[in-house]
Amino acid sequence: MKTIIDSRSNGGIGASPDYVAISSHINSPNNAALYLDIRAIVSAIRKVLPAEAQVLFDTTVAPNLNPVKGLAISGSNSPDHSSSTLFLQIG
Amino acid sequence: MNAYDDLPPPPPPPLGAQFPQPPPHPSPVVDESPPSADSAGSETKPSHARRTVAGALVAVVVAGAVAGGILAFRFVRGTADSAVTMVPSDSALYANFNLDPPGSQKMALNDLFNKFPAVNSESQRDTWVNLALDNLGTKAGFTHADVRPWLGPQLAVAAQESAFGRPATPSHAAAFAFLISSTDDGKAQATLDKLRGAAFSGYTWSKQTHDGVQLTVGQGNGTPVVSAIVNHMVVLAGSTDFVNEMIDTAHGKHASLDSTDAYKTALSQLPGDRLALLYVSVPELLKQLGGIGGAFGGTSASTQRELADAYRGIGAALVASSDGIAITAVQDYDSSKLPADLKAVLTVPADQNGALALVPGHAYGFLTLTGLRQDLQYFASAFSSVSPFGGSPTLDELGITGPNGVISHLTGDAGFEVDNVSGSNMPAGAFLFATDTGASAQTFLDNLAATVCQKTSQCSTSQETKQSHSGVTSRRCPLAATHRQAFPHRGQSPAIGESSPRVWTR
Repeated sequence: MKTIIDSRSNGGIGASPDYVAISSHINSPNNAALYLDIRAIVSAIRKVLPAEAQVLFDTTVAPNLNPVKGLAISGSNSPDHSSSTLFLQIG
Repeated sequence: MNAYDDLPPPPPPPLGAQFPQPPPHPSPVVDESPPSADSAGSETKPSHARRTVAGALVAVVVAGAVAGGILAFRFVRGTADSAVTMVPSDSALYANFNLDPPGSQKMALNDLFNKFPAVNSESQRDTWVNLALDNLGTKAGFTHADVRPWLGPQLAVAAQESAFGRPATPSHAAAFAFLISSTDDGKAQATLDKLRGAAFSGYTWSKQTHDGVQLTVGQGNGTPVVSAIVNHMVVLAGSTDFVNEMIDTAHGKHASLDSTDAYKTALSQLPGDRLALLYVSVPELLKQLGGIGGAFGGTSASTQRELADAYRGIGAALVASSDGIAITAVQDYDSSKLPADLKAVLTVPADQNGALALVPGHAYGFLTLTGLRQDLQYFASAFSSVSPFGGSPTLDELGITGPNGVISHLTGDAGFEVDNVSGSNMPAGAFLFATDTGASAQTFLDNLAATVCQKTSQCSTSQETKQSHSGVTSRRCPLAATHRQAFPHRGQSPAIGESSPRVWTR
């Protein structure tokens, strides 16, 4: 909760370079948006894996998963159509 | 040294001249004696040879430039969608995958592939394609060697609305078709023949002709299998009628999908350079979904008619760029024909969501909405007398719906975020929503906390305590194992959050 309050002063997600990069590919302003920091999520999952599984993960999965940085989806409405964009960030 | 060596070279021959005559030459001034046989040869042969070589070079350069131009043009432009011209105008679904996309897409894809060790070389990508084709053909009885020699640049799928519902007639049981462009119809036919002897060996096969095109029809248990090759396009379908309609469309006797206004409108809003395309005719689809008993969200028949009348088409394009891959989609509608409650949702203007300012930089992710009030009103109108806890309290009693309910005071901006908590493997989450007054939100949160404590017997609001951080006061009440707390910040955006080991509630 404290980090939520602090986000107002430190820029929050808007100061994240990865988010700034991916947000340029989706509708803004929008009516709805979803963002997933895939690299951070994968890293968090890796941390809870057993040591043996971590080694396997690092050698087989990670090299081809590391380039996938994030996923963003947005939707926006206008008087005669709605549009949406899904962007998978690879870097 | 030959006297002619000092003269300027002759002009290049006109394009196509085989052995041009030498131009008139000034008299030699160095050696006036008659040339010997050898010297005569040395005077005329180089001249002819030079002109011949020069002519050939020019021809090669011009031919090379033309061929290069054509290749560059094809590289930049890719191959146009040739499948859609044979898809009937009343099709409900059409998807196309372009194996020869425009140059910008090829370069972007190459950049992306190079970032993945598994596919960062041409041979690796080739191996994966072969493996995919082999896996696909395991049951059908073909391998990549049967397909790749004739596989063209277009893969497509088309379906009419009856493919999604009850069949009208046995022969129209599955009005869908796969279309695969062919670079060698003979080899493509050989593969089709091979399939008949493998995956569909139990079928009874017959030949039919429609408008000069031969169809092979296999009848077995269930959906028939129909194949034909039309305009260098292999068609594999589940309905004879649908294939006949495609042949008529290919021969210009039936309107094609790309001639319809709805298709043109949808496509005009999508990127022209793309890898793949999906188009759905919503009215056609709703016709069928209405016929199978409220499959479209359980809506009434009259609402489905309204939706079918209001909606046009949905188009989506798959586009590669150097830093990622995107799916861009557009859905067209006539808002004047939309049901009132849906119109209220779809006409909420887009904005910069205020909840975004409260998402921490290290969040795992978030979901934001700008029309939460309209969305909740749309759904809550049907459930105001229902309790999420069963029996009581109802949504009205919880302070969610009703004249003083929190919904009517929502500005619309809302979000849900999941965050990384330092020193913990468990993530934390928070729900954020903006209101035009703190009082209704306070009432809702108080009611919610009291109800949760009462229903679960895991907490007591009498044990509530307060905390302050950066000028924001929060309240929490301890749970048996955790605490629950929610609080507003100064921008009147209350938040309900959860973290381990404490859950915060206002």
